[in-house]
Amino acid sequence: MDEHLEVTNVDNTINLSEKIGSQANLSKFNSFLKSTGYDLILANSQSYTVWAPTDAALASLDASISSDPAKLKDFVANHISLTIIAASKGVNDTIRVNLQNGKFATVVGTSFEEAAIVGQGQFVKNGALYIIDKAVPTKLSVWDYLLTSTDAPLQTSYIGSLTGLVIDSAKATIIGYNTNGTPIFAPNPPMIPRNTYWSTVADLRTENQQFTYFMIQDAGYTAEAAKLSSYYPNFTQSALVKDLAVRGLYTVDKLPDTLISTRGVKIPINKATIQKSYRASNGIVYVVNALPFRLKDKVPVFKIEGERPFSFRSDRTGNTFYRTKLDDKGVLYKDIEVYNHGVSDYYINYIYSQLPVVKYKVYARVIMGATGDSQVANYTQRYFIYNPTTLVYDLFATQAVTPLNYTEVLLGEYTPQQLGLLQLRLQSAASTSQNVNTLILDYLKFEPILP
Amino acid sequence: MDFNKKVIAIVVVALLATGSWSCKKEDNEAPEDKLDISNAYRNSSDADAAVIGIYGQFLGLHKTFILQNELRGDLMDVTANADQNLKALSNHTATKDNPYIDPRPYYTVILNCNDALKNFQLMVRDKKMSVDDYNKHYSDIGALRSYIYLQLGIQYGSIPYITDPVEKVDDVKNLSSFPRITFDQLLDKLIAFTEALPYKEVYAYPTGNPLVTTIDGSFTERMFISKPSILGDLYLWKNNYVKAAESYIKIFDYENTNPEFNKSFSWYKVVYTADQWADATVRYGRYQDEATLLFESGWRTMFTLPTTNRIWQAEFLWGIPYSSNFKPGNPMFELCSQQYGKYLVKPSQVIIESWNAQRQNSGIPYDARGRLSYSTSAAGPEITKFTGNTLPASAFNKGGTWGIYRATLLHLRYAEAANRDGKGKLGWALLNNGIINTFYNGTRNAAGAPAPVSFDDIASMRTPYAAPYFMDASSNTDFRGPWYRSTGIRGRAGITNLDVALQTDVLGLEGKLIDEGALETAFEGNRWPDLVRIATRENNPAFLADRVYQKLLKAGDPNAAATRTKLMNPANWYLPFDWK
Repeated sequence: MDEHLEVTNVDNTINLSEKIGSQANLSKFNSFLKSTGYDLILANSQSYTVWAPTDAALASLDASISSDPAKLKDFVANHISLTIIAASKGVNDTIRVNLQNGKFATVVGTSFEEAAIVGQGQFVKNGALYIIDKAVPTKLSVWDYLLTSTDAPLQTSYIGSLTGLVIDSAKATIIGYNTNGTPIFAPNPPMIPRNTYWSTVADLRTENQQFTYFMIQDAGYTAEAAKLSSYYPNFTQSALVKDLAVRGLYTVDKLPDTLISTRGVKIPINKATIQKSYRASNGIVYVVNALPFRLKDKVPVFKIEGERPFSFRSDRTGNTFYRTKLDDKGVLYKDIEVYNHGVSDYYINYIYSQLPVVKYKVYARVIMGATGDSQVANYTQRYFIYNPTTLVYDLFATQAVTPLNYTEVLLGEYTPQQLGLLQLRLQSAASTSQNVNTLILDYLKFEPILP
Repeated sequence: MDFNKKVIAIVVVALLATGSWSCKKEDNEAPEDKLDISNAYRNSSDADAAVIGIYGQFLGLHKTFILQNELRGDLMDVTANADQNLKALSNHTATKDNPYIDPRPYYTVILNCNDALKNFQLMVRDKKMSVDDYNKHYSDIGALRSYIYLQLGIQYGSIPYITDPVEKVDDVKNLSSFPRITFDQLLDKLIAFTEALPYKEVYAYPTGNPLVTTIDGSFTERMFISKPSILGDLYLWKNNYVKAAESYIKIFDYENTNPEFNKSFSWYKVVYTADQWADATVRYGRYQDEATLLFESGWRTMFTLPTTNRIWQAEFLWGIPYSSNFKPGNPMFELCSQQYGKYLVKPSQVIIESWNAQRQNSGIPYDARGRLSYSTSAAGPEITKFTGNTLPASAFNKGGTWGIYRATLLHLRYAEAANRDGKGKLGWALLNNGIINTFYNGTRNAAGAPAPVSFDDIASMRTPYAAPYFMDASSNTDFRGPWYRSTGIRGRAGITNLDVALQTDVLGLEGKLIDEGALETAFEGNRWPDLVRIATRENNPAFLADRVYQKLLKAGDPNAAATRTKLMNPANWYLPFDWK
């Protein structure tokens, strides 16, 4: 049995509602329970845990909560959980408790969120009661804080603008299916807003996960955007805000000097830049006046792996080998070889999206003639890159492949015309001959030339 | 169906169904359709029934056999599901109350062998059986008994060698009071007895004998022990290499005269081939491409195909099939399977690392026999070698085969003898890439393949040794020697050759032959005997102790070092001949 569910000293004669009603210093919370209907819920047979603030703690409660029935109900629900939580086993005993309003509270040692638990837990027939010394108003989620705060207007406004309306498929009426099996909805279906940030960066609304999030005040935001503008033309802000969320909760005392964003980019942390922080229900938000990303992290080196092709000129599966071998240093590598395919100018297509605009040095690693390889003679293969202006593939480089060359070979320099999709083609010699039209690629490495 | 076959069919069903059959006297009045000791041996059909019954009982030793020979070695380890008894067997702390080290089940079968042998003698005396039938039946059960005794000697060291019939199984209870002989004395007695058997052909019963048939989808020819294999093993344990090699090569050569050339050239010869006669090759759909490893054809299928299939027959000279319709069912399911068993044992880290340390000729940096012998899932590595029958396994189908002796094992044992007898190059050839590739030193064509142009060239395709080490792999347009297809064990598995310097390094090659036994025959029940035999012969206890130590160390056993120290004393290799 989970030790958190272990309960001793139970008074099985009364329920939680009666227990709270019988305690003189909980009269105010008891009245809230009655006005919100929770007194009836706490009298039923399911098991609850209630963290009840004392009358003294509720004396200073914001009037905007107590006067608004909806807010008050949410406030009360923020103190109740549909499970029994036994007394904490010590300061290192941390649990996250799902509360009745959907939020999660952290119970560490003798604290319930920012409040302290007074005395021992009291157990009755349908649950547990703890008395706490502070009211715990409902906190905003990171997402709600991001959209409602005025700490970083430019960032808030940009991320808010990523919202679009989509069909609410759960509520829309389906009148049929098209040939692909996707549903056809009745005209004028109900729509709900969707923000692309949720899927591309992190769904900061999620209550059962925790995030550390950075908001950059306008001056810092503008400065960072300016650094990125030439590399991400038209998508500067997108490139900036994609690396502001981190999984997990890092309170200020636990902040390291570098964190990794949900998109895998290093975030430099300087505590001196933190102007403000907000403890959200699902994490923490830091408002900073600067967040100086390193350019090499934002415009990174990247690889296109040979064994991950996008498509082929034609089906030559029987001649296509996804190989696993050891290199000269005993390190395992995977690559692709298309051998004796019999097609002149056979090619493999590769794609890479969101390619930043900068001049790259392009290297290729092509290992031919290793153990088991039928290709042992020199041959040439070519690389073509799609030109979005002329709509044709331009020859980028011709590589003379020699046996057992384990090093990266510089193919040349390349500057994309625009931000976006890189379409690359590895093309064989214009020959149908075995050992002449072979294609091999471990990887291509694109190394940006940065100032 | 003639009468004999009918009787066999009925008895096989009855005996395999119970899994335990003996000649003991029934207390109640026996109905007419049941066998009783008073009328059990009337004619040769009854003798057939006795043989089948004893093999059915021998099948009951499968689990003990595998656990003792593998779990005590370094290739098989216990899982978290295993009980204390299995764990103790694995880390060499088993005490006499451990059911897995009780020798009595072996003796139950032995006593039944003794009983049958005595009755066969009575039958031939009373003219109830022809001399020819007697020779075959007596020799078969006699050789089987020698095989069980060899296993007992390997595991227990000094044991009672009982050859008298004991009619009551209860007498097994007095086993501890019988005088015991040492393992070495036992080997002498076993060799003398087995060598004196009147019928010592490769197959116990020739084609046409009623015992050679197909029952319930299984071929019975190879159900019975191959006498040259047990004789060869006995000689090998005695370090009598010439006699061992003579016995082994008798099996190799047996099919040479088969008019079906795919049998004469491929059976028992371990060849790299994709043909349906002998495809036990580690193969890929596309060379160099690890994702195309073939599971449903090639190397793995020799463990999954029924015994009626010629690929199975090309490799196995002794294997007893289980039927999914009858008990006892293949015990390897209970031991190994995550889905249909209790998942009690798993491949050790040692063998997994050994496979991963090999290199394929295609550049793939591991031995695919590992992938074909176990699988890896979130629940841990699972031995799948014996549970992947072509008839899909289910909760009710726990069939398969107890494959006991096969051509690759024969290669390794023969190579071991040849190596010790100064023919290291031959041992190396069979271990690596076959006879031609090792011995040929003549003209080659542009592609590098042998293209003999003279008698000298052709002569170099034969081993330059006298019998029993002569192997003819010659091949040109006019003539082919029986070994011309031989590609060696590693060649068939697509693994790179070992250093040729091993050809003249007796101890080095001997170690590599045992290592290959692990890669090729892991979990099949050869490991502990291999370690004991080599450690004894080389008078090097560390050969055994270090290997077991590595298994325990890599499994995080805190007593690994203590176990190593213990196993450095050969007296501690043997299980106590004692029980509770």
